[in-house]
Amino acid sequence: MLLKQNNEYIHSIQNYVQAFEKNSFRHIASNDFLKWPDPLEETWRLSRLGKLTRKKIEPIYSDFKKNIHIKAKIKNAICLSFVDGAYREDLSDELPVGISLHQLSEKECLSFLSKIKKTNLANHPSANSSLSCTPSIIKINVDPYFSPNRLIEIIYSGGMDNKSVHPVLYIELKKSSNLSIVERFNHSGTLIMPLQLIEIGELASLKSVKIFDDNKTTYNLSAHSVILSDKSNYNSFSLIKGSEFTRSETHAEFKGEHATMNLNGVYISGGDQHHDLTTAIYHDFPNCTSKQIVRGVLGGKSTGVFQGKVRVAPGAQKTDGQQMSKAILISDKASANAKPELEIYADDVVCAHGATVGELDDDQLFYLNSRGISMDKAREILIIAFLEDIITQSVDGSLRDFIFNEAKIGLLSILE
Amino acid sequence: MVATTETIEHVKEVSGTYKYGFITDLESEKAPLGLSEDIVRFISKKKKEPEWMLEWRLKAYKKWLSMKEPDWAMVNYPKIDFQSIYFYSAPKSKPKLNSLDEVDPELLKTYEKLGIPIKEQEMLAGVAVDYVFDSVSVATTFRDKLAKEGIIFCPISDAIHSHPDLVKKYIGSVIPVDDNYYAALNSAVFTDGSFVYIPKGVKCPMELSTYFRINEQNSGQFERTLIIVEDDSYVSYLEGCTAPQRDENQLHAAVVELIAMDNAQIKYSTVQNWYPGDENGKGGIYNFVTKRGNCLGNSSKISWTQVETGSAITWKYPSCILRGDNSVGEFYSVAIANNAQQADTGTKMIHIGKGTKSTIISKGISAGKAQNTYRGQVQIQKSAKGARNFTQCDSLLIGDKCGAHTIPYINQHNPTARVEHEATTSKISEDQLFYCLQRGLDTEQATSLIVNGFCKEVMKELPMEFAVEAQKLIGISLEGSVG
Repeated sequence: MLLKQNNEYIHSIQNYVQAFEKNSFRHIASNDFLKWPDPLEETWRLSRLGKLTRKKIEPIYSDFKKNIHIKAKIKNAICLSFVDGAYREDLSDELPVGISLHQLSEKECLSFLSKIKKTNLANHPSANSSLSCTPSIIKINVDPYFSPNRLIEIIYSGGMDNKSVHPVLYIELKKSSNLSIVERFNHSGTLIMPLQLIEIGELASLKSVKIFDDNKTTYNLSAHSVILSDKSNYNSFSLIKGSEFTRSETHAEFKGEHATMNLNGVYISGGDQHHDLTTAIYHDFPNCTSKQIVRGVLGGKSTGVFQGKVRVAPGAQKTDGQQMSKAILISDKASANAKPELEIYADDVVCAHGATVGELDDDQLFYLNSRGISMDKAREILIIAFLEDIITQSVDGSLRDFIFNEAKIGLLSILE
Repeated sequence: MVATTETIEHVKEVSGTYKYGFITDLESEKAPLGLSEDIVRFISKKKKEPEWMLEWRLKAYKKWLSMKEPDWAMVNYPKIDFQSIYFYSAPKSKPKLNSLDEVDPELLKTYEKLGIPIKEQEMLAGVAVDYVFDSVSVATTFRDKLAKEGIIFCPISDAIHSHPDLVKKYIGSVIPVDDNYYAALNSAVFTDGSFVYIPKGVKCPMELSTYFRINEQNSGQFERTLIIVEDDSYVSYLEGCTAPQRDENQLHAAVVELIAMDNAQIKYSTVQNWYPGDENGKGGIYNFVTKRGNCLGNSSKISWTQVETGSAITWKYPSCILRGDNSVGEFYSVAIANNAQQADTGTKMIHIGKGTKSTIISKGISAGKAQNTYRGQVQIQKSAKGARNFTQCDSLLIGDKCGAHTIPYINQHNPTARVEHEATTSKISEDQLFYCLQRGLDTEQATSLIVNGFCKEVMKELPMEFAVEAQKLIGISLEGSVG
């Protein structure tokens, strides 16, 4: 039974690509999507897709021009809207000169495909299925030396029951440019499989915030690949709170020296939710720095997973890789899994990771309680403090309040 | 130089052909090459085992056939051809030995070369040594003294005959025959090992020790150790390994099971310096070991301490199942990998009982082209209220061609438990090295000193005699890795 329906989804994708030429990028991508990840496969052991693969799902291939509109939430942001995985110009704001957006041509799609195949996302189910049936691959390009004074807000919405959607985005920052983006996942269908490739040029800097806040029954399998050049900077923060099942997988590669990266994240899980933050940082060049802080709050019967790998290649001397993950369990049915991983092949490096899982500190609770604050309120205060710390570190000024507020809403919903 | 006619008969019975020769001066008995149900029967028959033991072995063999060799460890080696290994080899059987003088002088010489004078060992701080030379115990000392306390310390092959009820009850109770590929293999073909039983309320008066050796070319050595400690008792067990140089890779797949009842304590220490192969990794021992302790009783404690410097490939995860309330598990490890050595080692702490505690201290040192991986799991079950774990694993890299990897797994299902993990990776700092050199030490001495300091937390857990040997070993293992 399991196998049969499993294949149905994959077969429907393979039938769809039959309409395209044998050497089209869709066709080639679909050749590598023959099965769902094996539940025993090391990186999928803690996040099993069994329930999803038993569902009868079909992809949404093209743009239905559905008339929905999720409003931009961030003041003064340039809003770009994706509905059912398709870019909707009619719902998006105009981009300033210096940033361009276009659909990749078949030829460009092929080169995009070969880029993805060179990353560690090559076998990710989202990479192969999304490339097979995305409505179109959208590229955002930032010109050299350009720094927009407004941030870009990207909204993913739409979706239907028993349908999957496949937005594919390619962001390129040219030399010495700057960009700040906020992505909001507000999907309401069964499955969303976003695929993203980000290339950050020399001396360029990208600030990226992702808010995963999909519908309560949605599966979100995000796959991101980030490539950093010399002296570039990538500053990323993810907040995972919605959905039934979210796995955000990011592979970041240093392809130049003296680049820096922050890859922080928070997950707030309650009910039957399953949240998985999987990251891999590849230090292939010397003198790069990566820092990672992950916090999780788990209530209800939820499960949280953090898998973070730091790989230092031979010769990548003077690497500094730091990783810290903390999870707090606030219910006795919740569980937390952590697998921080160091793989080091160079000797002149400083790498460390730390991981803790536990409950709120009794002494701190008592301190607040003895000052007349109810236990519930004390708990709330401590958890908010636990998250505030990392949000303050990860997000800049005006955006900070917005993110903090989003986190608080998530938190209150699991504390009830 | 001729095997006994009895053996020839056995071999002929089993294989029809007689295809083994002798290499060392020691005469030995071997089963034919390879592994089959007949070999399992042969080993069991050779050991004159009761029917239930044979059935147990055959069950394990059938499980083994259906299992796949694990490939998740970060080690690379050519596929093992199980059909080109001798699964049984024993020094030629001699009539019962009454004293050490009756031991083959060749054998004693080998020990001396390895720097373990038996006579000295015998006297040294009351260590009872149960020598295992190629799978079969040939000399046991201090047995009488232990017997007075009601302690049983004997080869497991003897225990199967003398204490079948105990063996039957506990063998495979911690590590089931189908636990993993190598444990199943061991269960099917194990030849010998130690059996320890400490009765209620007895503190074992001396440290029990077994020296394992591998001497026979191409003979896989499959020890089986079973230690049972009853309520309120204590034992400290030492295990040390050395092996002479060999060209072909030798397979070693041991199983060690520990059982601790209420308030019982087991301290298990290992110093392992098997032949790691030459600079290119040629030769050397494959060490695929399953070690697990079950803290069955409340407030029981199992402590693993290991210093790993040998083996071409090490695949070893001494673990604790903390079943009894307030039981304690400890794991202290130093793993040194030099040249082409590969080590994937660590521990598992499974917290089941309330208030269980575990500590993991792991120090990994990589030099040359070696790959050293720490892989550990801390699992807190729903029932483990108030459990506590602290893990620290540090890696030290010497040279830019080696690798150090840390892969911890934390699975927590109880909010009242607290799990902490920290890991660091670094190299020997220039400042430390400079400081030592400036005071007249050469680079090698300085490295040995610094590495010993790095390992201190683990070394201090070792029993006295071992600590001295282990410290020297660290220096020797790192020879040629600097400068």
